[in-house]
Amino acid sequence: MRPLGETSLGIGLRPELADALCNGPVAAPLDFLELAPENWMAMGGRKRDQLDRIADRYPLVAHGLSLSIGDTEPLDIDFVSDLRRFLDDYAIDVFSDHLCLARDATGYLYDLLPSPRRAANIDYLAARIGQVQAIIGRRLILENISYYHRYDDQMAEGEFIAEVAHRSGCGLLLDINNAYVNGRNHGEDPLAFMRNLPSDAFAYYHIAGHLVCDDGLILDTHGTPVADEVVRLGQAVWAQHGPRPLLLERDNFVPTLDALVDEATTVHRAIKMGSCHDATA
Amino acid sequence: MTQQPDPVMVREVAQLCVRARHDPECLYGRLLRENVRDVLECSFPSFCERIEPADLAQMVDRFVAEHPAIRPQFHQVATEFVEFAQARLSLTNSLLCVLEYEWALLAAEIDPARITPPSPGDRFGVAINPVARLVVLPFDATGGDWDRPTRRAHAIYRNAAHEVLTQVLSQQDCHLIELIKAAASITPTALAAQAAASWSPDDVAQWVATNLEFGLLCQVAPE
Repeated sequence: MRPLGETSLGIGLRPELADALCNGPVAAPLDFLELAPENWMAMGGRKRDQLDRIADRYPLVAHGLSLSIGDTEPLDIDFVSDLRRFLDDYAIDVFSDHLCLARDATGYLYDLLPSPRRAANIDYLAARIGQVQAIIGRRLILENISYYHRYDDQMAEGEFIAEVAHRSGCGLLLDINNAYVNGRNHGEDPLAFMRNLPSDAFAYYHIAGHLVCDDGLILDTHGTPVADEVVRLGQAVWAQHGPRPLLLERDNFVPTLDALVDEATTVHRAIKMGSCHDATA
Repeated sequence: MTQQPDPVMVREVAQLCVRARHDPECLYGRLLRENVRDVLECSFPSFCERIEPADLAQMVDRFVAEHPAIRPQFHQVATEFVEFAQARLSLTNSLLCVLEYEWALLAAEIDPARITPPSPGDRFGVAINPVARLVVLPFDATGGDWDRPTRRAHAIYRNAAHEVLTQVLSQQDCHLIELIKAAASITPTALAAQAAASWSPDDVAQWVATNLEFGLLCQVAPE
């Protein structure tokens, strides 16, 4: 298997694609696949069989949904320990989740909600990140989410994430589409957000499509092709922070594997070429 | 480093989450409900077909507002909903059985136990497939009309080819299954001896062979 490099390209491992990934020829442009552990762990039957076969064919990285590092409840230690076993079983070195909350005092919410960005919360978050890293035996990587609620008088997102990374030592996963969506929805400058982030903390980049609603709100649906504006933002990211592995997320209206690989290849090429033009301009 | 959240953080997070849980019109309220509804429609299609859309929306509303979900895996939203329905929703017995049957199909599909195909040879014991769920339903799940009342025992299980099967059980099936379950595993010869009052040895051997082929039984090392 090829090791992940700065220009590696991946797509999300969706159940809809599993048959083609198991049984078809290895998709040459793909350097890795990303899976959500919550959708594959503690599974038997066909899905387990498919995952075993896919893991023999493609390097895997894991991108979690339920860690809820930014909530105010004690960490779900049993779940984090289960994650460790799953990552070990499939020899997955790279594990990311979101800088957000997915749980409250009642229980799991099964969605990603924003955690308040306040200086007073950073030590608390850093301590939890350290606790998770000790259990999973890996560096935790955290992604900027798309958010649809703003707490009053918060820190700027870039400044907050940079400080969390600095104090905790966690890695960062920059979701370019989320930066675009937040910028449009909240009238903020995604380039200013990204300028504040430490390049050396970035493990990889996400890119995805979004939905523009009738009222102008943009939802991070992962259900459409990547918008041109997001590709251009990706070019700026690449020029500013340098190349990293790029992953195309597609969770709704998932096309065929061939079509998705074509889109990922096209987006990847456009970002690489565009960033060269930017850099030489 | 502090392990305790700042009180302001606790208050702010609680306010956002309470609103998402209790206000179906706010954006996060809508998103939470859409996620749950998508899982229910995918996991429990027959259950959802039998409910008016407004009633289903109300069930989803109550689930989001009230249910203390403890399972982080997204595919377990279905399990959380079944527990909620059993405890908090006043469903008719037949509707609850449809829901529980479709959950049993899902559970059999993803149960972590490994199922191995039968191998040739005559020195083996048999056990009930470890993912099999044996249930009595007020309808024949293998027939077309689930709304025609009857009372049938069923086995729901996954075979070695990962197919999820539903098998209607006769009283005689249930008798042999009870004997096997009581022993945990048993050789066909010992099973025939225990069932001798009502089954011939040849009939037991044939029953074992048939159900090994279906996957209701699995081979284990002889005692």
